[in-house]
Amino acid sequence: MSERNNKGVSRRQFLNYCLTGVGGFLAAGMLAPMVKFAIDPALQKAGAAGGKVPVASLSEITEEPKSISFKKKIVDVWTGEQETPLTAWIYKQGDQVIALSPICKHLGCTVNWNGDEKHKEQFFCPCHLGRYEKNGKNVPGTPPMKPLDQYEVEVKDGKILLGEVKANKIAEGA
Amino acid sequence: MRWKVEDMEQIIAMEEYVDTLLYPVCVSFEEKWDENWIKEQFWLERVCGYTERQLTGRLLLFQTLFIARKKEMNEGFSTALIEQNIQALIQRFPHCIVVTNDSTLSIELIKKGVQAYVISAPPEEKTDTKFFLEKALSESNRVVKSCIALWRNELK
Repeated sequence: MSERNNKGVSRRQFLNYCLTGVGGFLAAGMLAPMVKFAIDPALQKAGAAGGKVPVASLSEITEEPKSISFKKKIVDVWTGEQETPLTAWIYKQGDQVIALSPICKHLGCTVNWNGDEKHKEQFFCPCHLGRYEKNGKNVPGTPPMKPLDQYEVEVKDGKILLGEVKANKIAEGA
Repeated sequence: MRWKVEDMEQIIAMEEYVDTLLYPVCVSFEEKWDENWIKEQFWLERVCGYTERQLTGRLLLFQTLFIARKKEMNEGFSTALIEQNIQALIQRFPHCIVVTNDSTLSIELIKKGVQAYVISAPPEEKTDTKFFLEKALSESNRVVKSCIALWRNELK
């Protein structure tokens, strides 16, 4: 009996191997999502959902807000990830580049710069006559109750890259 | 283009503000079923979709009406059908603008007092190109201007 055990794998060894294998498999199952979560931003491509996309050259932007259209991959529960056309009002303020979302905070129409002849140097919503100042601050007494959102902006190699839409900070003077 | 439950819930929530109907009407004279049928409809729906996005808080994009007609046929039946649909919805939507690819139909609708806009021909470029996007946005801007003109007339 002891001669046979010396030649092969003992019951104790076999159980050890099984437990190590199963334990390793379970540990890998738990660690893999954590590792993926940690390194995911580094693996994301530009233009992928959540990433920044180049939209214009810095040279074409002035202190006058300019409407820039671009496509961005957006995840939709119905169609999955798809390219969606978006627009931003972009202008320079000193060395800073500001990009505002054109979506009115009242009911979601698109605002235009100098869209109302009576109120120059303002963003105007044609649907319900909402108005915003150049920095996106809502004009009191008009329907919108919040400032226009702003895009995350990055300038790299003379190109303007836009990221996610965030709550407006410049209107608050922050 | 199909209405989704969430979209309708949003529209119902904004009911007191949404007073304008955008009604796409696609007319095809092709006797052969080919890609032109799809191309015209796709272009019309894309432009109307971009228009709706720009005027979300005041405009409802209606389901597209698709009409197949032979060239020698009279458009009277189509006009009557569109008029009937608009009349049925006028209480809820006092403003309506028909966007169509058929200029003859548009003339007949305008004669009957219906606001109509004739869309340009679809671009030859592929639908995923920047040129196609820019042309669709530019065309939708023209439809937006027609809607704004309609609202301004109301204020006068």
